[in-house]
Amino acid sequence: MVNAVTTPSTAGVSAMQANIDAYRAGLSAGHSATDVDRAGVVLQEKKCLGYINLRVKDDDQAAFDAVKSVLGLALPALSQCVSDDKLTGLCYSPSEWLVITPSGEETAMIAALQTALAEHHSLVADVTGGTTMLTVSGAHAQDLLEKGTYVDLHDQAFAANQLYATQIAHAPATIVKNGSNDFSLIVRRSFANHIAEWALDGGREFGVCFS
Amino acid sequence: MREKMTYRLPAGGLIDRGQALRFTFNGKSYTGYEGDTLASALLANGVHVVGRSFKYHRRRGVFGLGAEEPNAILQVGTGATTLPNQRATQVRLYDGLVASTVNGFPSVNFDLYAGLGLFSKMLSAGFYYKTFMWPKSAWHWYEEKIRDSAGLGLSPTEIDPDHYEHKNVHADVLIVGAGVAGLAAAVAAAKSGKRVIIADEQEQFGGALLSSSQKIGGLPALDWIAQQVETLAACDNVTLLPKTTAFGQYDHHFVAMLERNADDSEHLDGRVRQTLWHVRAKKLILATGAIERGLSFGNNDRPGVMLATAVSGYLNRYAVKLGEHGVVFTNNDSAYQTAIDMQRAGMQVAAIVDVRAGGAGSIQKSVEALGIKVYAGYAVVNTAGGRKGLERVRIKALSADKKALSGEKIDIHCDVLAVSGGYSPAIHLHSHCGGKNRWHDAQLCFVPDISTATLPDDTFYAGALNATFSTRDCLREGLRAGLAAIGESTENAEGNFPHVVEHEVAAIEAYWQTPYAKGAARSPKQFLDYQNDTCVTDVNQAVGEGFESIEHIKRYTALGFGTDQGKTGNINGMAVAAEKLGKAIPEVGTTTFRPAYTPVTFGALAGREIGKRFDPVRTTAMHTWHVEHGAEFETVGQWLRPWYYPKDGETMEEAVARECLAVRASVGMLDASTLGKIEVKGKDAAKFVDMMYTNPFLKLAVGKARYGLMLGEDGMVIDDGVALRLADDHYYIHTTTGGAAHIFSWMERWAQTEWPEMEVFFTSVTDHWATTAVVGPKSRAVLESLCQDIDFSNEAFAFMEFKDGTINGLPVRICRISFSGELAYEVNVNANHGRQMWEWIYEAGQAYDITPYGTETMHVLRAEKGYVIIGQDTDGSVNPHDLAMSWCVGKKKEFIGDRSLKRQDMLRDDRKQLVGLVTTDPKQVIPEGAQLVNTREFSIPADMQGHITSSYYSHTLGHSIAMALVKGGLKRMGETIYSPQPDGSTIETKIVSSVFYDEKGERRDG
Repeated sequence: MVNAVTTPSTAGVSAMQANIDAYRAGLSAGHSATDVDRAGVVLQEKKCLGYINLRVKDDDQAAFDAVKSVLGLALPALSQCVSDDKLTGLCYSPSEWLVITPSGEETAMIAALQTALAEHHSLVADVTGGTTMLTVSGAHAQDLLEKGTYVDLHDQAFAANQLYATQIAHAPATIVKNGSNDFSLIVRRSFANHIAEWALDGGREFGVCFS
Repeated sequence: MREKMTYRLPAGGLIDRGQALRFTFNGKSYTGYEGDTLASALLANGVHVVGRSFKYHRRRGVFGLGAEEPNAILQVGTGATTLPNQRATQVRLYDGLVASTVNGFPSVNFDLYAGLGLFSKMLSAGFYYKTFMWPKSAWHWYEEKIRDSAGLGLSPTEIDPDHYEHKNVHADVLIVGAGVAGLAAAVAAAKSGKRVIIADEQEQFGGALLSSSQKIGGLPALDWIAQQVETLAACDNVTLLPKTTAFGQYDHHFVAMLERNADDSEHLDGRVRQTLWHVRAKKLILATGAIERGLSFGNNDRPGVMLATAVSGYLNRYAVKLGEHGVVFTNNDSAYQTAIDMQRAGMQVAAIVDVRAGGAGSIQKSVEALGIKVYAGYAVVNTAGGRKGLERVRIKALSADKKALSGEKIDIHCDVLAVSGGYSPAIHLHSHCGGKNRWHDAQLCFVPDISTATLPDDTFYAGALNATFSTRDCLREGLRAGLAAIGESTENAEGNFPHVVEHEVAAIEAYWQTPYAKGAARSPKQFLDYQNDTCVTDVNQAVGEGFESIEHIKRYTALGFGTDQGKTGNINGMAVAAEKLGKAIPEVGTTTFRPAYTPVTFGALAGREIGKRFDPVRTTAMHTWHVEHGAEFETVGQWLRPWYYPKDGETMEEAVARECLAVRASVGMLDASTLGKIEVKGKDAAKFVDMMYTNPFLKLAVGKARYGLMLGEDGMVIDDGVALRLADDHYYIHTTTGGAAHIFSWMERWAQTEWPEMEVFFTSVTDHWATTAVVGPKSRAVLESLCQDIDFSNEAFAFMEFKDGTINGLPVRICRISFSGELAYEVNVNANHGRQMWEWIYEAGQAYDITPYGTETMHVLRAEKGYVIIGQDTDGSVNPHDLAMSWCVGKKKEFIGDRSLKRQDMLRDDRKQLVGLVTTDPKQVIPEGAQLVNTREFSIPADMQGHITSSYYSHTLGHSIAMALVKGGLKRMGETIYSPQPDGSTIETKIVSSVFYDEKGERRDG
């Protein structure tokens, strides 16, 4: 019988640890800029945020209102992203959103959404364990992403707070634009190692830093 | 000893005489300058013979200046970075470059096979097809020898050490070609602020102007180019890509381009060698220019015979004096400038031989003023020379209709013959995705039929590509194209137009072959395609033998089949075919243009999608634990799954035996996180799920689980798995590991396209849950020690039920599902805690010697129970009845595939059906995939009865077990059937039930 243990914190759990460790181990071998200031590409894993997949019908205004009453944030339009100081909402398809919460707050939020949407055609699913985020910034952030994705990332075509649900390096990923040369990639846990490895490899020519 | 560059002019050219570069060619050392191509450096060193021809092994020299080069096809570099078949005309010279000829054995100057030329009458079109077909079986032997004797370079055998990248960009305007038209277009388009990309295959922008002595708006050509490039470089919205070949156009202005980032050394030390650009352009401006053609006359392949543009190029751009005595042979005005260029460079120009009786336009006076004699209405009919190449040409007068030669032969001493047969616009990109071409009667060439572009309103054509050969007109077309592409009016475009002084031009005249009185076949060889040694006689013969389509003629004669794709000779060949067929050239048409315009390295196509990046690798939350514990992995779909965990030097068989026995005897644990998991919710969820599966799901109670089969519309099994009912309107279904993505889109497809009225939503939660399967008689004890808030007794927690609870405070969902026949539970947890949960279970299981096991043991355990694996025991042609799973097909319900499943053919009792097999020799394991026959003795073709789908040695049972699809197998229990093996032996085996172990299912409840 194992003695009761306090519920572990998720703060240290990384979906990309294997490659981050390999990257750190390889630092002395050269190729990479070792500090954020000199790197053309700066990568950072935002570990263990809460992720809620939300589906409601695209014409169900009452459901939108119900969601807003819970989140305090109106659901964004297609391919848009909205944030306040706590939450981020992303619209993937006419009937599908992703809500990102601070770590550990997803469970209560899910329960509140399910209650608020009880009378609506809806599906609120916890995808926290299946999702992680990698931010890509630095002077060559866009150059890096252009190696592995087909969508148009140029400022003229892709403004801040827009997103693409697409592929990076043949793995499914969502690219959110925070600003010029500033992106967040939302990736599935099982592909996270692959994408981290790809980013470290592709970033080499610009100097890459995993902070 | 390094030779001096004896053919280098003392001044001029776009080379840097301050930077000498050493290189070797066929083992001999030479020196060139920064700015040289390999071809210009070789010519500067007086290397006239650079290769041997493919079929006749004739000496060949540099013929062209760029992408069109058919002869100077060399092996460049050494070791792992060596590249075969490089056009010396497009290889930038670097210090230490090593090059050699790709054919010519043992050396270019002494070729053992050159004697073949003596038998060339035997080597006519279709020679290989006709001669080496007897006896038929010997072709493979012949083929090998023929390829050895010809050969076109060697691929490196080592792994390419270089770094290649891919780049995906979007452009408002993509301009291909930075000659005068392309530059004018780019400058016009750049002002809009829209995203403009301009690419050109040459080292520098400027196109043909780089060899020109023309003035534009009073500026020398090079200064004008520099001015345009400076203007463009100052625009943030413009990307300039020199050294970048647009090699393919695909649908919707998707253009593939190859950038040669670093070509200044063989050893790049990690620098990117090449980048493959994928450009998606809204507007496309093609300004790809034109390629000069040769002319066909006797022995027109001698080193020293070159395209007129190439002669001017080597003189003006590279300051290479190609020889002492020049002659020009032409059917148009442009080559007259080459005569002037030669004379200015200090060569003696003995003659311009012009097939046109009227000679040239106003440029003729300039030429004659230099003392150059023009033979108007004459043709070169033969050449003579020695080991180093051309020594003299023989010319004769032509009749008025150019159908006969007349008068006395005149021999003219020369070592350079500049030829021009007119220009072929580079219509390749336009044609790649189906654009048609039309014949330009005045300029005698195919030009793009603009209305047939893939996106005709968004594609613009400018310059020589349109058979517009005057610099002034190219400027005008470029400007108009640039303005049109940014949606601006071209009405007032004429105003700000630089002044260009140009000659009045006399029209080009058709001259496709020399009208020998004895006919082409009995006259000296007239080559059309240098790289494949295709002559006028070959084309004539092909037509004579009945070939009519130019595509067939091409394949029979190999015209245009080389790595140069016949850029200099195709049109001439088509014209010869047309003449022989009695048709007009446009009636014969061109062969199909396909990417790539010039060859692209595999390295660039692969980019960084090599090794572990070839395909995404998916890992579970417990992956690092498996690695730390020495697991061997197998790839399932894109997932890496533990295959088995060898201990202390165990073989795979030993490890699997240990794992299997441990599970049956006590308890094992398996990482089952990879199964697909989809939540299905909505008021129609039950109805929807019921339609997906063959068996009924409407009445599945909340809290219960059920196994189900999914079929395609054709009634064949596509997936299986267990579905849980979370609530009346909420299901949670498992798919196979490999089928998850397909089943998710399959369900979305039905919901969105067929049953939009159904209220049902799906979300994939595959990655959210980490799943540890705890399997074996002691699994209950392990979980009881971990989880206090679930009653694990059979009464409280029955097979095919699930419960939510907590382990050490973490919420878990535990399902009683078994893929082994043993008592088993699957513990699901938020994957962030997946590894933690796995470790807790491992720790708790130590009391029972819990054994982690991989997919191989999972396969053996399930096979002992006769459980199928979709995709292993099925192949898309297997229905539920074939699997003896009719019990899983609802009789009173509808489901996808049900109508197909009722077709007569699906109910035949002689279909291949899944059965078990046990071998007579219990130790013998039949290889998976092995075929089955009814008798030990058989003749080929044998009466095949089926094949093995799964096969293992069962340590639990002490004998081998196999599953097989056998014709009518379910009615053949107890029959003996044989499996012939590749080594000639035969394995005797008996058909049995596929449930080998615990047929009554007594182990399920522990």
